[in-house]
Amino acid sequence: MKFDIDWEQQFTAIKQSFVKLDPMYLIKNPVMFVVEICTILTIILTFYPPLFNGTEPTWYYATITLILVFTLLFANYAESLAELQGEAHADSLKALQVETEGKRLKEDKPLEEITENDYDILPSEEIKKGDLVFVSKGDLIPRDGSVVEGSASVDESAITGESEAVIRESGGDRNSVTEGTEILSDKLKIEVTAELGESFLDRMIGLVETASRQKTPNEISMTLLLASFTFIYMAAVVTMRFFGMYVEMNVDVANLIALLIGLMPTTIGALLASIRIAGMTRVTRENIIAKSGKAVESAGDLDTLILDKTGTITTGERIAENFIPVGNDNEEKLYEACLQSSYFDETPEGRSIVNLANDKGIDVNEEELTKDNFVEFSAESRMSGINLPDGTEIRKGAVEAVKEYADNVPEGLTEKANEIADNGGTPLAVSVNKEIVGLIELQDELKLGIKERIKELQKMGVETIMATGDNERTARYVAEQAGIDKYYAEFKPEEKIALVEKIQKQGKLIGMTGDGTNDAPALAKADVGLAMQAGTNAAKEAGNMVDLDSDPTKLIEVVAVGKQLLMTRGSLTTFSIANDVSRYFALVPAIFSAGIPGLQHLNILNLYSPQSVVIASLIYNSLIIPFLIPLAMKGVNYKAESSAKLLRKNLFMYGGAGLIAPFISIKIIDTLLVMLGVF
Amino acid sequence: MLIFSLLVFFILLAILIYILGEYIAWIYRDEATSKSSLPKWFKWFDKIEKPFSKIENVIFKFLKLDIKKETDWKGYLYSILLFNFILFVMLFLIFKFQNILPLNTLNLEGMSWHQAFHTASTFITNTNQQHYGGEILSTFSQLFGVGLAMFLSAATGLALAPAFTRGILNQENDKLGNFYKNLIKGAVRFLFPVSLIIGVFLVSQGAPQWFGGEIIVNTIEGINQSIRIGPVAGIEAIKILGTNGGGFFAANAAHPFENPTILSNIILNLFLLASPIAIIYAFGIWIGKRRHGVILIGAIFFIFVGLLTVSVYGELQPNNGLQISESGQYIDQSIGNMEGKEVRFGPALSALWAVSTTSTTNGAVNSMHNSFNATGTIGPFLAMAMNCLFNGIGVGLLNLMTYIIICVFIAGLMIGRAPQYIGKRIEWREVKIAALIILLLPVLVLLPTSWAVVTDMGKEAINNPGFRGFAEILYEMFSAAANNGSGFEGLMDNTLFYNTLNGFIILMGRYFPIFGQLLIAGYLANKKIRPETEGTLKVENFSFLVLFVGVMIIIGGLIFMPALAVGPIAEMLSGGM
Repeated sequence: MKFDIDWEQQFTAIKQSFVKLDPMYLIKNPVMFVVEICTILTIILTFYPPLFNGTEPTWYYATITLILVFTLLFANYAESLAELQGEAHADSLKALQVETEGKRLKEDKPLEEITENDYDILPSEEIKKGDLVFVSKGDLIPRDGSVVEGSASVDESAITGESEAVIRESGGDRNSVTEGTEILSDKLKIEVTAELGESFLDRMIGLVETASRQKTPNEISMTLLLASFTFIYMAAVVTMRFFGMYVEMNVDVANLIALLIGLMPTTIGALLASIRIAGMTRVTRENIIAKSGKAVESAGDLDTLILDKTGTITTGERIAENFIPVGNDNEEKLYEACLQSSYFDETPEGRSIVNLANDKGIDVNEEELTKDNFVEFSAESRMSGINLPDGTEIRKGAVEAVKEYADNVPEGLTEKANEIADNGGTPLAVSVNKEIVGLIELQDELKLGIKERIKELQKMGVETIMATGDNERTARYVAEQAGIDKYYAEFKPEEKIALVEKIQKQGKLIGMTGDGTNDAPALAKADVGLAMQAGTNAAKEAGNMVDLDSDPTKLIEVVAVGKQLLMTRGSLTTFSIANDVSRYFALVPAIFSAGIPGLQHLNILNLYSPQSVVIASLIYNSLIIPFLIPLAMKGVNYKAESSAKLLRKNLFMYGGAGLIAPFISIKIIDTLLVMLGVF
Repeated sequence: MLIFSLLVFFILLAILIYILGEYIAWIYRDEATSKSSLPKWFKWFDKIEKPFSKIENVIFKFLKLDIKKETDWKGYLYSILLFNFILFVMLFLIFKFQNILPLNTLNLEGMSWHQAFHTASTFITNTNQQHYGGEILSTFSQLFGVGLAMFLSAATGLALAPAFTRGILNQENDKLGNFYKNLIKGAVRFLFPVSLIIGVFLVSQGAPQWFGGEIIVNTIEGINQSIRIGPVAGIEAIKILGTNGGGFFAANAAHPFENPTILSNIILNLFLLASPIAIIYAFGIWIGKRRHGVILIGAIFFIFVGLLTVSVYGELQPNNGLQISESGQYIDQSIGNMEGKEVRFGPALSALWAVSTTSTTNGAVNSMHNSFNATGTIGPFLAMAMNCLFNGIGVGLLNLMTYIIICVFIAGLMIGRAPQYIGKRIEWREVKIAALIILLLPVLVLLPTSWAVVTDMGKEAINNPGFRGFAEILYEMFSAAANNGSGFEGLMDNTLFYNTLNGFIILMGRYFPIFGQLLIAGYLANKKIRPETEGTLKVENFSFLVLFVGVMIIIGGLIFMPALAVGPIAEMLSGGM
């Protein structure tokens, strides 16, 4: 919880609150528009009461006017504050874009042959779409583009916050580079794909800003519902004046306005916009750019998520779990061979083998091992290893490759290898002098906490489907480990679109993540398509959200944010509607009390006078808005629970509060008013 | 003792709802694309399929109906409007010109044009608000005007239920069924046979069923008294079964010929409640969840019992007016308020009937509602305010769904899901229409009431002074707008003002909601069915029902609080009119 207040932001928000009093602006929000019309009526009453047969003193009308103006200002303030906070976050994304220089190639040349004479150094704004630029170690990428040639590691932490560098290379899914990111090694030839101010980030930030200003379909329904409630209440309140005539009393228009304002769902009406904007901002805060508010709402409503295996459910790094001796050789020999063969192996698998060997307390003569003798993995041999000074050849690699390389295959090797595969692991065979000594079991590691996340999803009623190119056995094992509902093995990315369509045909809403160009059609088709910033531009264009951190697991967080957005809207509506009960019992008797004294029996709160009730009710109405702004901005508490539990919790909490809060508040305000000598 | 008798009554009611509900569901099993099958002990329904379909086929052939042709919501609405319009013209002419039509043995006069307009409107809409005493109608008008309309307006309502259900169950298919087929099936299989049973029962209790005009009896005072009779039992039966309510006699079901005994009273009261409720039960069967139907009924029943309690309590109190009577005569009021009540029914059964008739759009009365204590009138008023709780035959289901859509919308949001009901997504179009339908009742009640209470045209009809006079007008507008049709009585309402005003209110109160609800059905029909999961809204749990009852009370009931505050509540709290 932060308490530092951004005064400048507050000042702007207050200024905006006044600007938004413009009726042409407020008309978009029917509830607040009616409040504004009522305010105009009370202003007339203040200055020229005879127009509506006003008989109350001027100070009474003036007070009511003042409270109504504050109600409007509070509502506008809630919206402005949410907008400003959203913009502030978007601006912080914009700030990533620093002034850069680019090296534009004079003519196309193979990457290796490019020298200083082949390019001009220009400020980045002079670079145009379609230009070829050259970047090398230490350069900032001047504009969004795609890699034409070369491969380099790029620091994209400025955008993603992820400190680990990523590889960008020509061809394939990793060819897009983003303006403002830094080359850490090697060099690239890039074709610029965006004009100035049109870079991906520019457009995305623009989208967030416009998207959060547009009402979502669900919000439109809500606005319509609130508008019709307002009309119902208008019918009830306006006719009271005629009913008053029947009992020969002049029902004061200002009192009717107070009742109308009390009955109308002003609380939710005032906060509707800020709930939406704040919801969008919460998504942005997760470093996800949502191209529309609808996408965020749909996320809350998803039935099914298609998750990739690698990178989403598993870390994608295979970790050595076990060394399994085969044949007659002793364990010690196998362990040593494993350690020796991986000593200089810098791949994650190699490191994990070393770690496992260290855990087992294996010691080898380190002097025997020199980097020169290390045999790197090659696609041809599909093995890596080391040659010891005494001529011993130690190799490890895919079982098939080692079998081919070794002189003979010991009994039981194939069975044990299959057993590992059955458990979802990958077996590596280890040989010493062309004699197979055993197997290393590599396991795909589940992401930390993924099991719990999937359980949460299931509680929310979201089905999870894993689609992986791995074989059936691996897929089944990982699915079981992670608790996934359904899996598809040996799955090609191109099949994703068909899967999405199949599930949508069942009437389900589907969410997925993707980064490759061949994911793009499915991303576009899915109800929520979360594209990875590290992926191709095609994918980013197709998805309706982009994750700047390129962490596919975050799809699950988006679901929660979407749900929270809807829940906040629903809960505050319930609160608002439940508020009405108190108005009927406090205000109606007060208003009619002059003509029908008997109604005073309904004054169960023992409020001071009809005037004090009216003022107290209006004050409550106005103050409840700023009081609930933090809730609207933060969203209601959300925990993954079944729908029945959620409904019970929110209904009784917000409905119950809505019933009781106004009774208590009105009584307190009434007492305070009397104590302060106002009445 | 009272509570025990009521308990027995409700148990009998539950049994009757079960039987009628299963039967109605069976009638429309194909038209509603029902997802359930018949329980064992109702298998015999299938045996009566043949004779019924023979009768129906004769009618279809005679009317040259192509019953295989199904229409979308527009076609369905068009059929209803066209059919009802023809019925309206026919009724208008019958009432206006009954003097020159046959079976007018008593040489009764035709109605004025505005009364004929009001009466025709009220009978085609299943409202049956009567601005006339039943006695002024000829036997021809009773039979071919009132009687026929009672069957056909109820069948119209009945035909809406399977069509709406189809809207929910359809998988992207806009066809809602064939209106005429549903209409005729409902009349042939449900309304005729069941009212025949009720009619025979009534005759056994002493209700007359005869085509003569009147009988002349020599009373003990030696004067000749002429007593109107006619096809009373038959009209009474369909009046109750079809949520109609228009009495043969001005005194309606308080008249000993319409409702002769305490037994007949109880049986009629049972059918009066059971027929609209059974359709809600049938809805549960059609969608494949009997439990859901029961729960919907239970939620409304909860409100019903609340209102009943208030009314019975109110009527068990002595009549204020009689107690402060200046006559000095002592009147024993220990059994409660007996003013305007039949001795054979008493206060409790009268209050039960009053709340029953206003909780459905029936409108038959067995006591003078205007003679109720102010507290006793709260029940009937609030029941109508919530658009007649169970509402009319068939349309009751549609009205219930209108509230459900609003509740599903709010509840869906509260669990963080886009709203969905039985697999159909509820979007802004449905919410908009549902909200407008709910908006309609306050507009149709409050605006005309305001007009009537401030003008001489409206006020000159008032019978009682003060708050009670206000209540008379308010009740009249409620009765018209909610298509209830019962009379508070007291209001001299056969005037140009009330006839035309109420006539229009009645027509708007009937056809605007039907238009909106069919439109909703049309929208829903075209949608995909979404499967239900752990995360979707459970409309069967307790919390949802609390919300549903809460919305009914706050949006439906309390909205009329200011109006009621000037009427019955003012009278109640001020200790008199």
